[in-house]
Amino acid sequence: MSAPLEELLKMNREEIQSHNERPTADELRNKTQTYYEDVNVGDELPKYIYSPTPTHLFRWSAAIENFHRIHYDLDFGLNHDKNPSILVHGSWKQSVVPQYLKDFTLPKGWPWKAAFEHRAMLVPGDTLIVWAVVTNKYEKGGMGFIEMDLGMKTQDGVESMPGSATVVLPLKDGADIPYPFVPPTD
Amino acid sequence: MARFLAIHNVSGLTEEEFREKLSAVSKWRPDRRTTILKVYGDLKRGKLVTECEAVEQEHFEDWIKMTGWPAESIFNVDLVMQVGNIWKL
Repeated sequence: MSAPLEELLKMNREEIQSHNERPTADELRNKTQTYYEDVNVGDELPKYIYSPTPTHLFRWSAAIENFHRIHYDLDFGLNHDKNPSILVHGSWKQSVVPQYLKDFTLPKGWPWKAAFEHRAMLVPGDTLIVWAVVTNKYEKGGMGFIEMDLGMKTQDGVESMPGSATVVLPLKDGADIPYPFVPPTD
Repeated sequence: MARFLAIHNVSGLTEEEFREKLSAVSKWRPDRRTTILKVYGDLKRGKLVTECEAVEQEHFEDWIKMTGWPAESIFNVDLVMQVGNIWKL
């Protein structure tokens, strides 16, 4: 049972981390389909919990070849940019959203669209909660559309990435969502 | 953000107490405006030097109250040299 976001924000960092629901690769390979009918307005999606360390930030810098010093050089970040520490990359946060939506919809559904803003500086030591709440659902063209608000909150409730998304899930008696997905026209 | 240093009188402070006071993230980063960067200890003489990045000195003072390590003096740092690099804050 997924802990409500409101409850997580009352916990300390270690307790929050223990509620991480990010699936393993094996769990994703064997995931049971979530159908349109399984989802209701007001439902909270599973929470993904991240506790980034300097090693994670350095690895991301290397992986995407972004060598801006604010992400790995503490002295530079503190003394030149006057930041509170090295900063978590916005590009990493961006990478979490499609992963999160993909995990929720697979194997037969698809993320359609997402939009979000970058707010707040995130630093090693923060515990980050990726969350989403279903705000609307509708059927169209034999497919199920789920709209949601989402974000990435810090342990002290600061919303660092307010946004929204729409995903497409199959109906229980419907066909698979076609790939490539083409949204139905009005 | 601004940088502050404080010198504390902590007569009788033990290593165990030092560790306990700083053992969780919330103890060195109590909120989003206050980060304790470094704590130097000379426990034999009962002295600590702490370095803090904070929006205002008041935020650092809140942390000092929280630890119970009274500060004999607090400084607003405006120039740093670190391994040859000089930073004007």
